[in-house]
Amino acid sequence: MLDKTKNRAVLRRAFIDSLPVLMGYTSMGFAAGVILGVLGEAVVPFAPVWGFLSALIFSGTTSMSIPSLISIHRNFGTIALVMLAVNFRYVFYGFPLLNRWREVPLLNKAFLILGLTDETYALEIASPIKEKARFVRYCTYLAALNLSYWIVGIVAGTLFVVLLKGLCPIESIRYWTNGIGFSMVALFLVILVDQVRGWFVHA
Amino acid sequence: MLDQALYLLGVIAICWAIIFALRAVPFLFFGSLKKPIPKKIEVFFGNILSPIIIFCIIIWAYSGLAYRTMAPYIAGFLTIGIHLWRRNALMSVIIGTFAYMTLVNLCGCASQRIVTLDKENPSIHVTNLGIKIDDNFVEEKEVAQLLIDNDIPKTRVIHILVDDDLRELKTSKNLMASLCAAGYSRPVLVTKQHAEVEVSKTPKYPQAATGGYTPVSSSSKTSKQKATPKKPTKIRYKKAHE
Repeated sequence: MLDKTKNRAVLRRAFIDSLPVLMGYTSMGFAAGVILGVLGEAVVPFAPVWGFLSALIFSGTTSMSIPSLISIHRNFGTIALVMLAVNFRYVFYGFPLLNRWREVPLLNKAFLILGLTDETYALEIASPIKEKARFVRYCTYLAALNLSYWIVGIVAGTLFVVLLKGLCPIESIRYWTNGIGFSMVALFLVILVDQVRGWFVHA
Repeated sequence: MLDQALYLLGVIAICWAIIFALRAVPFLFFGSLKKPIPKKIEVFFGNILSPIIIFCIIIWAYSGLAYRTMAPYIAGFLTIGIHLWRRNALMSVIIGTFAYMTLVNLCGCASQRIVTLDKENPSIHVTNLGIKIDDNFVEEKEVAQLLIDNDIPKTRVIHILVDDDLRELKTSKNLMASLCAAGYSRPVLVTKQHAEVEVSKTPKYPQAATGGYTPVSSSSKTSKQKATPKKPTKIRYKKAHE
C-alpha cells in the first residue's frame, strides 16, 4: 500500500492529467443534461438520479448517440445493436492493462473497468508510472475524477434547464462555451503525438 | 411521462450492460490465466493498436466540430506544434482549445458554413433549444447579420426549418420579425414533413457573390408541396387541403 504523501502525489498527478477531461466532460455532460431537462419540469426531482444513471453509462460516444435514438423511439433491440456496433472498440482497451491490473481486488477492478472510457484509457496508456501499486491507484483516481466531472455536468445541465430557464438563456451559455469540446480532440492529439513519438524513441 | 421515464431507464440499462460487458471482455477471458500475458501481445495492443484507435477517435471527433471551416485544423496543428515544442500536455490542450473557440466564435469562421440548405442540414433551424445555424447555436438578432455577412441578397427567400416538436412558436415568429426588420422580406417557415429536399441547380433568385446559399423547394405553412423526387430543377407547389 502507498503511504500518505505518495498517495497525495499520485492524486495530484491524476488531477493535473485529467484537467482537459474536466473541460470536455462537464460541457458534454451539460449538453446531455440539457437534453434530459428539456423533457420538462417533471424531471427535476429525478435530476440526481439521471446523473447517477447516466454516470453508469459514462461514455462520450454513447451519450452523443443516445438522445438521437431516444428521440425517434427506437425499440430496445435496435438500440442494443447500435450500442454494440458503436462501442465495439472497448473490447481492445483491456488488453494492454491486463498484466498491470492483475492483482487488483474484484470491486476495485470492476470500478476500473467501468471507468475505462476513451479519455481515461488514453491517459492510462500514456502514463509513465511503472510501479504497479501506484499505477493502479493512479487509474482509480483518474476514473473517479472523470466520473465526477461527468456527473457534475449532467446534473448541472438538467437542473440548469429546469430551474434557471428564465434567468439566463441556454442559448447564450451554449454560445459562449461553443467549441469547448475541442479540448477532447486536443487531448487525443497530444496523446497520439506522445505515442507516435514513443515509437521512434524506443526503436 | 411515466412510460417515457421507464423507456429512458430501459435504454440506460441496456447501454450500461453492453458497454460494461464489452469493456470487461479481456478481463473475463484472459484475466484468470495463470501466466501473465506475453509481452508481445501487450506491446501490440498498447503501442501499436491504441494509437490507431486514438487516430480513429480523432477523425470521429472532428466530425462533431466545424469541420467545413479551417478552424479545427488550424487549432489541431497549433496543438500538435506547441506539444512538440514545449511537451506540456495541459498547456497544449488549453492553448489549442482557446484557439479553436476564438476562431469559431470571434473570427466568424462559423458563418462561412452557410453553404447549402437542405432538410438534413438546414442553414437556419429552429429547435426547442434555440436557433441553430449549421450546428451552432446563435442568438435571434444575429441571424440577419450573419445573412448580410454572407452576401445573401435581400430578395432571396429565406427558409427556416422548424422542428415538429417545437413547443413555442414565439422563437420562430421573433426570428421572422427580426429578418423582416433587417430587410429580408421573404422568410418562410418550413417543417420537415412539408418540405422536400431538392437543392435546385438553377435558382430562380439572383445568386450570391459567394455562390453560397442554394435555394430549396419548399412550402409555406399554408401550402403543401408535392414531392418531385428525380427532377431537382423543377419546383412545384400544391394547395393544402387543411
